[in-house]
Amino acid sequence: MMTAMGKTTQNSNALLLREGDDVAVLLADISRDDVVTVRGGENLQVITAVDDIPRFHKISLREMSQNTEIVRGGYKIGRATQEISGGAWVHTHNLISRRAQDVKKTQGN
Amino acid sequence: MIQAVDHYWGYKRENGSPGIRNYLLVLNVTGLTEPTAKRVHTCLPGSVYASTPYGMGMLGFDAERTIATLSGLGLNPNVGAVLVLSADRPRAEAVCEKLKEGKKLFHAIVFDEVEHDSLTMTDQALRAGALLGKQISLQQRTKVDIATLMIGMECGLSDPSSGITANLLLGRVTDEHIAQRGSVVFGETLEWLGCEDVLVTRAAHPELGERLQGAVLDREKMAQDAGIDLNGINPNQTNIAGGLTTIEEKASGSIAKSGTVPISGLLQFSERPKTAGLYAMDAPSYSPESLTGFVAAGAQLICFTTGLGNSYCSAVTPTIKLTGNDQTAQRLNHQIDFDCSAILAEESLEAETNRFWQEVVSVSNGGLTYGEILGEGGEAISRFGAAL
Repeated sequence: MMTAMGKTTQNSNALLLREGDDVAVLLADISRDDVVTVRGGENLQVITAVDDIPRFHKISLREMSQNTEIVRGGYKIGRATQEISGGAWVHTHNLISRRAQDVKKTQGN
Repeated sequence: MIQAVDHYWGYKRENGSPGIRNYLLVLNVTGLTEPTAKRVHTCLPGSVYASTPYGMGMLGFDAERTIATLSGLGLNPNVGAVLVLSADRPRAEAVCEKLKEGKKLFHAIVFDEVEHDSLTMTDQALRAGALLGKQISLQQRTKVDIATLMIGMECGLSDPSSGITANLLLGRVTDEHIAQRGSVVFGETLEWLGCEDVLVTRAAHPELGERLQGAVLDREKMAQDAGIDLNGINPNQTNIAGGLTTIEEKASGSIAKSGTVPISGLLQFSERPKTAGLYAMDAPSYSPESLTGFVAAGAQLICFTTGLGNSYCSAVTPTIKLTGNDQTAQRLNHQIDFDCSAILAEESLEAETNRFWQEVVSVSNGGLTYGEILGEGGEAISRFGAAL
């Protein structure tokens, strides 16, 4: 039976959309300290989660400093609002829309 | 890019592209006749229905777009004949003029010719509808070029699976369909916000790029002027719970369904393109309005991705529902027509795209979507101003 996991990647639980992305998308709920295997790039990547992260949410693949422009699928999706360690959950608590920030600046907020 | 699909079996039309359905459309063009039109539609079980609840007093661009959309719905290739109902003669004539130009079979009834008696209108409409229905039922499908399909691409209630599965699949379909001289239209202007710079690079010429950017900025300004915090509504709370963090992220996932090929033009709501190609339509994101814009522009087929579920379809144009979320596909197995969650196995994106092309041809040849079977279709005409 062909599973959704593919022929060589039975144990992977995250997807890299494009080579060079800063984050991967989880394909299953994971817990802190789980090993995450990321496929989709040239090589399989392995990283340990430092947070509980829900399915389809993002995991950081490397350490990023505050204000880093985060790339997913080849698109810039926003800026880190604080330092983010590798294996961390990336979401509304540490990632902000650059567009929204720029709009606020224009409005003088 | 292997998909040996070069034709489908459609209904040739006197003017324009073939249809994949052959409907009798009950087209109601004024609010006063809407109750009558609903009654007529109910008593013509094979018909489809499109209506505006508004009427006279509309001004300028708002009025012009309503007439254009009503006419466009009537002229859609999926429509074999139109039953036009109206309380206002000039409005009926404006729509019928367009139907005549498009050589579309129609019959119009206006209140002034039935002495404003809705029951007389009902009687005449049913009799006219019966004759039209009989006449169009005689037409057979013939083999037609796949390039004659205009496909509308839509997403609703996306989740992160959408941008990495279903929308990516539609992106490939877009690229492949444009390569075979077909047409694709996508809209939901506000969803381009955050990635409009990428769209600009894909514009066929620089002036188009400026207009694409302008469309996004105008829509953004519309929201700001209304005091809306864009980060509050887009992504919305459901998107955020599902893992989408920012407008840019959601936009990148949404825009994925437009593929990578150049954009040929920017259309107004319900504007019909003059040549084949990939078109962006500047229109609201809300599905009922977004879909009606595509259908009035001539789309015979709509591909509609959803992450968490969306039951709404066009009434005039078959709407294939697809999801890359396997839980959604299982839970909503009488809503989702195509489950592409197998794309999460990276190796099968091409295979799933080819499998989806078979679905496209199957529906084009007459295979029904769940939305058609369950009557989930409607049409909603956008408004662009207040009326007197």
